[in-house]
Amino acid sequence: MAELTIHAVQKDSAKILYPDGYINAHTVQEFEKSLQSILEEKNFRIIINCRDLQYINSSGLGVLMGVIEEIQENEGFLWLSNMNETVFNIFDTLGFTHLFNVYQTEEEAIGAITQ
Amino acid sequence: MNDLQTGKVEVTFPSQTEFVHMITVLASNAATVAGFDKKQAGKVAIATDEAVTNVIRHAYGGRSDKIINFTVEITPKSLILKVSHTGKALKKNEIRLPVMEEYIKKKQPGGLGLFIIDKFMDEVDYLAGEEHCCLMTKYRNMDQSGAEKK
Repeated sequence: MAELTIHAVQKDSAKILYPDGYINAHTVQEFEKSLQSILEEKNFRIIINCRDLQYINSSGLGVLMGVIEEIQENEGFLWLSNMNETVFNIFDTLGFTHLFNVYQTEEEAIGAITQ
Repeated sequence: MNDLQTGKVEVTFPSQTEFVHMITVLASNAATVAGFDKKQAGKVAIATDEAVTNVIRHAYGGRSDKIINFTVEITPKSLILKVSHTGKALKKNEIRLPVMEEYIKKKQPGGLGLFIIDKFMDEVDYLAGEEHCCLMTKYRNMDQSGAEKK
């Protein structure tokens, strides 16, 4: 398996990102590039489905922090779903669940868009 | 928990980010051997990733031609992880962990690694000497449901 692959799919009004692998200092540029290319297309409604994400470290969280302001300024959102225990622990411990909505499933996240 | 399993593994690797994941897998496996559950093993892996990344980025300033020593030791009481290097020493009294509420309010990237290490391990020390090191300990005899110190 590659260290990190990311593919993106448009669903309803949101862009869904599927990172597969791990996000750390070695792979964070790939993650940042993916997010930036979505923002350059003026997509500010983003859901990251973490079902195949093994873990994310502070480098990856730094990327999320770096883009959230631009997303919020454009009335968008950056939500996450399908986190494993390790990924959720990091978000929870750092209090990032107050900054990023976290959903159990992608369907729940998509459903929340229309609410 | 298996209190009898003890042992020590030592690895030397180049200061390149390609090797970080390999070391985190080793740390996670060692935690499992020491009897920690998946949740705690995940925390050990992340803390190790952060400690090694700090050495590459800050102690060695991103240089890829340096050496890092990683030791993981399972003792009867604890899992001890040691990340050693000969770069710039991190002095414990100079460490200022971020206050997360303020950090999130200001949305400033960076500075989270040391905070994660501190939260996910039971004890963390930064020692300076011939080799400098980050010494991280997780105790085996703690109730895993209440193992977090904070």
